Amino acid sequence: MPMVEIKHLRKEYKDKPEPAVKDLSLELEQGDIFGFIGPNGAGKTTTIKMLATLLIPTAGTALVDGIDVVKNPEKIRSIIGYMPDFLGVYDDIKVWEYLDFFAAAYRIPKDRRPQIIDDVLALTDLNVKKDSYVESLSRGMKQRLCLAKTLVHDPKVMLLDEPASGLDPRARIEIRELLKELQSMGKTIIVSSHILPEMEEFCNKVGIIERGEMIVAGDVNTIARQVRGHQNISIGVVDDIERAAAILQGMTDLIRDVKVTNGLRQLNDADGGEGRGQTLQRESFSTKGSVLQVGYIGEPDNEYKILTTLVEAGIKVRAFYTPETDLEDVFLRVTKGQVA
Amino acid sequence: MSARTFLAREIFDNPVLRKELFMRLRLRQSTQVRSGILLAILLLMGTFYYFVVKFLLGENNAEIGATTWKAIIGLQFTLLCLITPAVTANAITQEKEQQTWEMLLYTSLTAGEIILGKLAARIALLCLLLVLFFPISLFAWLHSLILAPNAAGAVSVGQFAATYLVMLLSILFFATSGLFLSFYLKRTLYAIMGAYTFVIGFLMIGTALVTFILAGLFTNERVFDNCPLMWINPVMMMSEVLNPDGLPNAKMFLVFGMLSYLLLSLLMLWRMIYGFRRFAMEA
Repeated sequence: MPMVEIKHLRKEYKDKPEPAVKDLSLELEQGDIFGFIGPNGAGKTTTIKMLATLLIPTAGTALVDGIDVVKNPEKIRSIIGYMPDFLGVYDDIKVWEYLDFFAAAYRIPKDRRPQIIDDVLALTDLNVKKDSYVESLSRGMKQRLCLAKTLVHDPKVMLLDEPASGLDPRARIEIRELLKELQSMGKTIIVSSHILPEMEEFCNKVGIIERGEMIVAGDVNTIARQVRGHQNISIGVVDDIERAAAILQGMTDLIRDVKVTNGLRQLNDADGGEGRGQTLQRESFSTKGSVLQVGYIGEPDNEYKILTTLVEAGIKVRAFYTPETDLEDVFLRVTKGQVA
Repeated sequence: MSARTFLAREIFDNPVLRKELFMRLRLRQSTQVRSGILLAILLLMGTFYYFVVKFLLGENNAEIGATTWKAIIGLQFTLLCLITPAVTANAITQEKEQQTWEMLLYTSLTAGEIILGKLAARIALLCLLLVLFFPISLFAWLHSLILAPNAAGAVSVGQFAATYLVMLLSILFFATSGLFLSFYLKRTLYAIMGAYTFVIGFLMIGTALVTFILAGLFTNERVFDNCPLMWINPVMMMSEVLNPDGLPNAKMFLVFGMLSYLLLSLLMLWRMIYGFRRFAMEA
């Protein structure tokens, strides 16, 4: 049974002519990290709020762990952790008091609360701030506190609406690391964000929404492949670059095109964008020699055939990898910049 | 669910109530400042108590005790009318402004727990005012009662109880209306303005003004007695309970006013709780 199952979800607002969300369908398994991508006003927050029982869908169904979000909102709230896209924290309250209040609000027995508070504070790395007043925390810390609050009732599914919004790079990295930790704990996470390279790093599935419609959804690489019509593969060779290129160009059933790039250009490309630190490391590896950029059109599991052919032809292959999927590129290709 | 379980969950074991009380009663200032605030309150109340007690002990006239008691009640009631809108109208708008409302809605708390928790916390604070004045009120009342229990103008036990009942019902009604506005409006400023307009502008001044106009139109001298709008005027109600012999049918009007306050309060609470998720979610 899917952990999250959305079928033909629709949301209309009285004061808006166009529906905020229309015919949205999605399935997520336990442990999936789903990146919800879309321009402002595309319907991400509306969808998340419908799952969080904060908005009633106009049509369609949404099940979380088999429970209908409309028919049984109380039960849903106990298994979902929802973090809104803004920092809502009470002043005049200490960090542990804030968490204790929400733990009580989730009906966690009083004797269990101190341990749970310690655990979520440790997870969010806020132990040292336990007795600090909430208002004294930095924005990044408040964001982590919100996440800690979301975790007090140990939800199976987490809905995180722009968790890294407005944070400085360090705080964003901290949130990202935290999400990876939650992923390792087996939580199913739906996260919306505008910072696409980060989404690409920890999401195994993404969905791109525009004007309330889910344009594409699924595995990141599959989507990229669908959108571009091919899968990029980078092949670093020690020498014989022309011969290697010729061999690859002959494999027309698997390869659409082959480009030869040199290492220097690769480094510049990789160094170019914000939040591409991980990409820089990987691309830097290929700067020693020439690199072949291959547009692979074969079956996803048959990439090895290219490598086998090259090695059998005596080409000294130094590196063979699929570069990070450029989610920004995919996003720009499928969206038109329109809002609902 | 038994009434006891319901009360325990909705009121006494309510996280919202505990948080509200805790946050409102917490003084973040240094010990010196806190001591200074407490000392100022003690000094103010102490001075008031001292002069009233001294005044009453020097008087042997039963009417003086009764008049003093009525003055104390009048003072408390005026303070309640002035304070209640400000105390209650920010209950939910503040949550909306600091963007915690949605998070509160998302918890497992019921609509009743959230609404009644917020209302009870604020009523508890307002009742502190009654508690602060209660000993001196009791002293003045006993003064009149002991000196001349059967004298004309003496305050009976029933009148004493009815006066506090009117004050408690007024607190409930004013607080609920403040909360109601806070529930439906987005900004604290608008909610507070609305609450003052309702309590002072409409209930106190508006009802009297309309009655005056009606009196002028119909040249009816008894319009004050016969216009139901006036029966819900808090000043009129307090005057009826303090001077039950002042107006014919005062008791009937008072009962009407008290029942109106109670029913309107329950109606507003029902509206908020019933439409809670639906309204709060769509807002």
